[in-house]
Amino acid sequence: MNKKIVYGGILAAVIFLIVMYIAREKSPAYTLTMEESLKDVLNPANIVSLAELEKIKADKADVRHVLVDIRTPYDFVKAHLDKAVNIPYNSMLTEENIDIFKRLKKDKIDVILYGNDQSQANAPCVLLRQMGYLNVRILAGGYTAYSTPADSLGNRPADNEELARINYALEMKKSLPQNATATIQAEKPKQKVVPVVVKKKSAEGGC
Amino acid sequence: MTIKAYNMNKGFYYLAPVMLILALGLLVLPGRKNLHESRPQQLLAEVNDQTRFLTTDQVARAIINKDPYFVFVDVRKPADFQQFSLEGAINIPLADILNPGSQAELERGDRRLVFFCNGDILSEQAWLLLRRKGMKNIFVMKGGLNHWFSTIINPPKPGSTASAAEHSQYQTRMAASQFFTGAGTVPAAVSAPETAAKKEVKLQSVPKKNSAEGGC
Repeated sequence: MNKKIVYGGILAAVIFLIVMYIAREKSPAYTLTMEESLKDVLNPANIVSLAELEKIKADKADVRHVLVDIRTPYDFVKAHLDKAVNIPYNSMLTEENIDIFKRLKKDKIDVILYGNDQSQANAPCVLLRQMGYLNVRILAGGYTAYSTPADSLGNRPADNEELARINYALEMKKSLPQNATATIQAEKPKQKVVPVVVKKKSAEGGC
Repeated sequence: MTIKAYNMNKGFYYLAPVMLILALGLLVLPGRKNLHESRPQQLLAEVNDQTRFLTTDQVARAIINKDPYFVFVDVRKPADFQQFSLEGAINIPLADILNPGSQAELERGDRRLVFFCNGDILSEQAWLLLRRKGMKNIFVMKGGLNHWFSTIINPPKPGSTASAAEHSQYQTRMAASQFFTGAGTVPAAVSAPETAAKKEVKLQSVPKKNSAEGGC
């Protein structure tokens, strides 16, 4: 009976160790801690402005930057930024694509993600940076902002999606009932006017 | 008897190295940091699912109905929050979202937290960080306050080819707009049929006043 306990114990221990080995973290998922990640998302340097992109494109011999289009292959084929590479967002973190990012990081190449707008590329950029790929940045505004030409006044669509498009407080004041032309308001003046007219008439007639 | 004792001792000799191996195995375990954190691939899959989004219509309904299970969290700076925010929303700026005080506020009660900002980005950053931490029941109002104003406060009139559903949505949004811009009462389109009956009573009282004034 003792032998059974001993063998059972050894077997349990071996199984335990095998399971632990299989379940171990192959590589740490996140390189940045939560606090570091928060600081990172608040850092405006991680956003590439359209002006910076123009400068990068102007240098034809530049090999240190890569534009990565994270949209679907369908959108990419329709139109994409010059020399951009397509890595669709839903397969961004597969082993093959992670290898691409690993290689780009090793070669110290600056990666600029873009989508249709900035919010589409935001999550992939944030997650890649948290995983340690700090050479990855995001294009302000995305493809829509870039491809919309400036209007006659030289204005381009805002590439800062976090700006309030209107003055909220002012807009709320504009919509207040006293400024509206609702039928309820139209009735009140009638009530005020009619009694006054009646009184005047009786005074003139009777007295 | 002596033979039995000999067997027992041997048993312990086998168990001792087993214990040692187990102890070494436990040393390997802590290499797996932060077991409760969601992995990036899982987070990205959830992001692509878009299950985190609530529409501005859903948010409007929750606020009008005073749904106690929703808490709307404005992640913009305090100055922006002071200038304007959603009714009943609380302000936890993104920069402060990991502070112990904020965490206590966010984890209080079994509620659904809905993050919002002007656009989509700040609220998504909050969502990503807290989801990584393992928080459940967290959402984002799609389009943020910019979209709130262009759908709820100033809803676009449906075109001539709009469907019945689009017209109905426009009516609901107009009613919601009146609610938020100061009417204060719950218009018929948004609430239950009882208030629709109340509205009819009001219309009947107006002609009465007119006849009284005409008589004098």
